[in-house]
Amino acid sequence: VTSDDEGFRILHRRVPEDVRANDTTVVGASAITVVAVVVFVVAVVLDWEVELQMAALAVAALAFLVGFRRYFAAAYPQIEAAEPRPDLEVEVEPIREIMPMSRRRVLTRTLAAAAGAIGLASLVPIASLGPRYRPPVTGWGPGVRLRSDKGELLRPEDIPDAGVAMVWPDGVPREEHGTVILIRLTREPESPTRLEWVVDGGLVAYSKVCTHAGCPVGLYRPADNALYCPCHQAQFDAARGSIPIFGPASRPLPQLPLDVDDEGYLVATGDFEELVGPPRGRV
Amino acid sequence: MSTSMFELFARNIDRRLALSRPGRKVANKIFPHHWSFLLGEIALISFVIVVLTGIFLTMFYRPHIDPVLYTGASAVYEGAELPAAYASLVILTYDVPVGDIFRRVHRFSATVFVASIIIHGARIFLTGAFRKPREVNYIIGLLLLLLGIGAVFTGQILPYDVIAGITLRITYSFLLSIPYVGPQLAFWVFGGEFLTADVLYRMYVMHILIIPAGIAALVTIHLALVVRQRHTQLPHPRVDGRRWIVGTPMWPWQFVISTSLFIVIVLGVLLASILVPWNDTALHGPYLIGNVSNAAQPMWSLLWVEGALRIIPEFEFELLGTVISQVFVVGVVMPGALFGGLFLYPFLERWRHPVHEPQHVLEHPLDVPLRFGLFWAVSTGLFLFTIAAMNDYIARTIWIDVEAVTWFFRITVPTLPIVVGAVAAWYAATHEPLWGGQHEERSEVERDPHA
Repeated sequence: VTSDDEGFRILHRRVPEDVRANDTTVVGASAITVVAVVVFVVAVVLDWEVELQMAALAVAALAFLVGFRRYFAAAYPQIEAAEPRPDLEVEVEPIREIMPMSRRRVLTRTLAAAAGAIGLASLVPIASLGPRYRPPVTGWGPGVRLRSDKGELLRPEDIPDAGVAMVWPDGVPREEHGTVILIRLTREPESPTRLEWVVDGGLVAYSKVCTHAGCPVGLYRPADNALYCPCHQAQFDAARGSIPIFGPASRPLPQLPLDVDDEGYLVATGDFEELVGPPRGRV
Repeated sequence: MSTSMFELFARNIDRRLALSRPGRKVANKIFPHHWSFLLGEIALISFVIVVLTGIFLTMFYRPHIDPVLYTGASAVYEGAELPAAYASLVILTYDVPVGDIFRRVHRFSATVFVASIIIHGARIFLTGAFRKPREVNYIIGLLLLLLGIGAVFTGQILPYDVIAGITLRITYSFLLSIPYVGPQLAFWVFGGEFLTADVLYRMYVMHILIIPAGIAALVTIHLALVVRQRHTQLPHPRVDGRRWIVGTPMWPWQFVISTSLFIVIVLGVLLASILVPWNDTALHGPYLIGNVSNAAQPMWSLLWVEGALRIIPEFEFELLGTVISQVFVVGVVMPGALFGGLFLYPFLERWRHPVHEPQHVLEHPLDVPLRFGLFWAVSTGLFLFTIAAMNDYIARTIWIDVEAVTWFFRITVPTLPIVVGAVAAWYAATHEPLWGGQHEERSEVERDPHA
């Protein structure tokens, strides 16, 4: 390095000793690198363990690192240098205009407003990204049967004591807002449970979409009839209208109006009466 | 002495493009000789690795959710109907030679990318490297952090496993909760009511095109500004750092250091990928509405939001025709406040302590007690929220109720950061100035230009 660049100064310079051992290291490391790469290719072709393939690559990288550093260590001196910092606050004479300041300011603002209007026009395509918002509707309605995640229509006797089932409206499988958890409670349900929607003594159905952040309320704890959300630990009392008993949820899980039809299948008698799932910024 | 082919080629190129003079300027560019200046380089290196491995992965990934029949080497999924996206991941992992390596390295380097940006940012923050004239680059750095988090976030969606599905669902809830505009916004982002087929494809476009292009553009500007403004530097015993930049020239030793670092990062990523199977697709299974798992967690850099969702008590009330809810405050207001504060910090500090001169020499973290205390207070808060995201796991491990663990965090989160921050600030304030007196006039460079 020379100091012909304006201002560049060398403060300290250490010249390495010229040793032959260095050359041996470079050659040896390069050889190991090549061997490791060959092992890698063979390992891939012969479909050996993926960990072994990566280990071969790692050895290649390590050996190359050693050779690379030795190569430069012998070829260049270590240098500490300095260069002057540039002055960042430089005044430049503006390009002169001929229009008087008073008129220019008005015109500039008018033109900027016009440019802004074009900018706003570029936001219009955003509206194409999705349909107009409408509140959620589910497939539940009068007489709609309950179909389980295993694809079966359910009768009350299909749910044993303390048993649960994940169900959807018949014909609308795996539909987000229609997801329901059907539970046979281990004790008498009480208010605020809508008792007229309880079937067969202790069979209740709630929306499975958590009223906190929308996770499926996945777990039922028969000991205290609690519904438990594995995402954020919101807990609901299924025997008391699924009111929140701990955690971050504010509203109970909406209860599905439940009945049994003439053929003995479980049916809904209507849709949910409350908002399903997490809060929405537009009521 | 004979001229090599390479020299001949270089000379002919130079006679046409005149690169040798600017080239020498680049070769002589000075880099401060301190490890903390390599943190940003680690981010750059991991970004390169992520892009290269990502290009390979893109060749095989299918951003669709329609079911396809998988037949291949995976015994678990052989003959199963899987969402196309998930199936393409199983194929990458089990049926494409070196596909598994690429997935593991891609995922782990992405972690290194975000982590190194955060540590680099902490260094910038603590040493005051964001001060005049570098506020612009500080803002660009924060934008890069946001894009990095966005890249990992969208990348986590692509497998379309249970974690991806639940992450999407909670994101949808965040958007819905925004007062007035939220529901429409959620419909625009997702293309309709949850769950749409569009959303995976949109995440894919963000992940492979928009976010990487944004990162590449901002990294270019970030580096160009460092070249234009020069690096900051630690106080030097013999040189006035306000007027000179001291360190290692680009060629050859900074080049050697950077290249070595590149190899070391590759090495580290490979070793980490051997030890930990960073690809864990086979563990979770494809997403189906209604399914959920305790393991459904966002990546670590967003765990603090998850922790806040868990421990902040419930509230939801109507106000001025809209609903203000816990989900809105945790998912939108808190991240907004954190990053808003970070973006504004240089200007707040300058408003409190006006400076007019350019600040090229760094400060010791302990020499600025308030900033030091603030850093530890915020870090403690984020750390506690992050740990709180594992409250169920902690409860299971040490055999106490999850309610008790939650209450532990409900009490410590509002108090401990204040205590830690105050202690840190007090400790720094009682400390002798470490890098004080750095503004004395001194310059060996000027006394003896050709030392």
